[in-house]
Amino acid sequence: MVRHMSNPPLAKSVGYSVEDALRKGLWRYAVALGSVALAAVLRWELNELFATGFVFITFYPAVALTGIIAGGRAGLLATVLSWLAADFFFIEPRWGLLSNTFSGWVALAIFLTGGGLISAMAGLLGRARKREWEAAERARAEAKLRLSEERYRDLVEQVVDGIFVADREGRYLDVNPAGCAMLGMMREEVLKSTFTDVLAPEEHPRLARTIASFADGEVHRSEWRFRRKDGSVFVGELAGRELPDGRLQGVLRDVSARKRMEEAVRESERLYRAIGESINYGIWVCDLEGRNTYASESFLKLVGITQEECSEFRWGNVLHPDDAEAAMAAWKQCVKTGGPWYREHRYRGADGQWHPILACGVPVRDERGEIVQWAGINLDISRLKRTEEELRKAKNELAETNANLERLVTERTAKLQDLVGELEHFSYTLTHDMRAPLRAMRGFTEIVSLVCEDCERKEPKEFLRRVMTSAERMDRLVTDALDYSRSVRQELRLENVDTGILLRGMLDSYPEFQASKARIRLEGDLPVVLGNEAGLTQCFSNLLGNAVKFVKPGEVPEIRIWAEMRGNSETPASGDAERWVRIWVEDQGIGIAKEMLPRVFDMFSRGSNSYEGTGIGLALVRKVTQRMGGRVGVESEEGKGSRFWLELRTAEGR
Amino acid sequence: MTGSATVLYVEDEESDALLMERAFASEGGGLALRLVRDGRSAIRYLSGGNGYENREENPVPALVLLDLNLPQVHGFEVLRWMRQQPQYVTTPVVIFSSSSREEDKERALVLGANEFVEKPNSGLKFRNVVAELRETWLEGKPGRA
Repeated sequence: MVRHMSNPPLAKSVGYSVEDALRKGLWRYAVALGSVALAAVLRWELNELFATGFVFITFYPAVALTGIIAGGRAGLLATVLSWLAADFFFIEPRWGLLSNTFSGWVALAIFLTGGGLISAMAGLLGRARKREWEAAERARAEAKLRLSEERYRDLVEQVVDGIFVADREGRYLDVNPAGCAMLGMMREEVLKSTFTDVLAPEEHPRLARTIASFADGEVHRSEWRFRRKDGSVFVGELAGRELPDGRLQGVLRDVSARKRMEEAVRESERLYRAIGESINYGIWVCDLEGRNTYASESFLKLVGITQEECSEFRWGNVLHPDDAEAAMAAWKQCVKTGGPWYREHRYRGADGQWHPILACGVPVRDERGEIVQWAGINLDISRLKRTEEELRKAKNELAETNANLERLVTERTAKLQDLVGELEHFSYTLTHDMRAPLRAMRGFTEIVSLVCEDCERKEPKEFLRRVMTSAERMDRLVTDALDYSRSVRQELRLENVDTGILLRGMLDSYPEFQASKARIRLEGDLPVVLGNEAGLTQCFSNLLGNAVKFVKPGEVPEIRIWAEMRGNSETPASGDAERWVRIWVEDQGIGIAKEMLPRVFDMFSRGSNSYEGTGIGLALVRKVTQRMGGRVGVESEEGKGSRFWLELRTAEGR
Repeated sequence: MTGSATVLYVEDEESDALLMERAFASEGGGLALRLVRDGRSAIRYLSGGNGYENREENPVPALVLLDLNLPQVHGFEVLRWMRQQPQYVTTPVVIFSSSSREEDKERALVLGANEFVEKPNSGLKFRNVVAELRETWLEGKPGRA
């Protein structure tokens, strides 16, 4: 213990010889010398008290002390030194050796014997104590070591990393449970294995090189593919080094899961980059300060930067000055609230042009819901905007053209109306004025006919009849033409008209519809319709007139009139509130040829020259009915008769 | 001539005038017919103006038969003028026209015509017209016995 405390500083300051001397036990002799010197000084100082007798008594303690501290041999030396000192300084003759008295010799002999005995006893006692101390010290050290080993063992057993110890040949000497579990082996199996047994074959070539590199005692990290007992492979990260005793120690961590996760992350990143690159939207990811951490190819191309320059890119710098302030404010607001980013603004592209951009983005949050970054798209909507603008222009142009067209139509319609008015006036005047000469022709022919009544010659009378007939025909033509032009021009005010009352009135008052000339039956209830009374009278008088007229010579016309309610489906202008009625006029007359049917309502279309007619009547019927909002039609078979119909809206509220 | 009622017929169409004269001859029952050929003459006659001062020859008519489509002054103008003259406010005016236009009929009645008679397309029917006129408007008026 003493040695441990004093040895290192002394060795350094005094040098090897002193240390050597001390190591050889010279200190013991120094103790003897010191003790004797101390006793001699004490005896010198206390000489008065002791007088001259009992000199040796003073030196017994020095011998005893030396023997106890420095051992038996030092005690013997102290005994001899004490004799010399006592004999030289204190026993007569002083300042010389050897007594001159017997008693002196006796005393000396006793002292030497006593000193030798004391030294021997002290030496024995000292050795026993030393052995005892050393044993205790060893026990303490062993306990400490045991504790440390236990702690170390616990640690080794507990860690999830595998810990292996092997010799330089690669044979395993120790392994912890985690290591066994990793390899899927029992401890005994591991201890029978070598490196090549547990490593995947492709790893064997670099094994020797790696072991060699451990020689520097430093920790080396490397990744290896291990093969478990069941043949499956895992990737392990190894921290290995060579221990001072030459054994190899390795700490192994199974990083398969981490590797898989890293691969999955890389895969995911590859995927989202692929998506980002494949679509034409500028995809961006930025941190909370607005620094871009990623931007897709199309975005980089637009603003003319590389992926590396991306983080340095400040999108505020490419914003149009007019948009910048509002966009920045909106961005700050977005970051504050975590709400979605949705804006339209202009970027200066690499081409120097302003590109309208539709920017959208959302915050990306971590598991705790904290926003960690923002991601979104910048869509270059230049084309859209151009199209929009073109569309808007086209629309304006169209509207302008429309307006022009409408103006033109209005102008032309007005002109046309004037023209039609003039024409109508012209035709009216013409037809009207034609009636006066006709009247004269007829009037005077009649008078001449009366005068000629008694004439003997038949010819003049026959000629006069022909003049009359022609005049009458011309008059009818003129009248019909007048009626038609009036029906086209005249305003038809629509009102409720009871067709039953109308028709009965006509049958009563028209001479050609009298029972003596025709059998006309009104069947069932005839409806009240929305129409114009004068118009309907024209229609019915024409239809009935035709029905009466177009029969085989000598036959009495048979006419049937009835009404049929109609659904909305076939009506010309259907509305929920409207109901329609069809009024049929059926005759048993000569009918209409099939090829004639489609043209029967056309102007100046006539079926037969054997019957009087202008070809205006049915055209008038159609025109008037159309102007009342209805429509007309006919079913007919030649030789069997015709069925004409008018379809009209029923009266309001009926 | 005195004592017999006079009908003034305003007509530019010669044939119609002739037919009417014949009809009056047979159906007039002594009524006197005076004929003028245009609207201006009609107004002159009615006001006893130039050429028509002699009321013996040109008596104030008991009925005016008025064609519409007249040269110079239209029939409607004659009618309007008449209805503005206190003397002729109540004199029956019968429009005798070949027009079948409703607007003409309406306008005539609005302007104060008493009847609208469409010209018949037969000469013989002029007689019926005269007979009806007598019956409607001149019943009790002295004609030539």
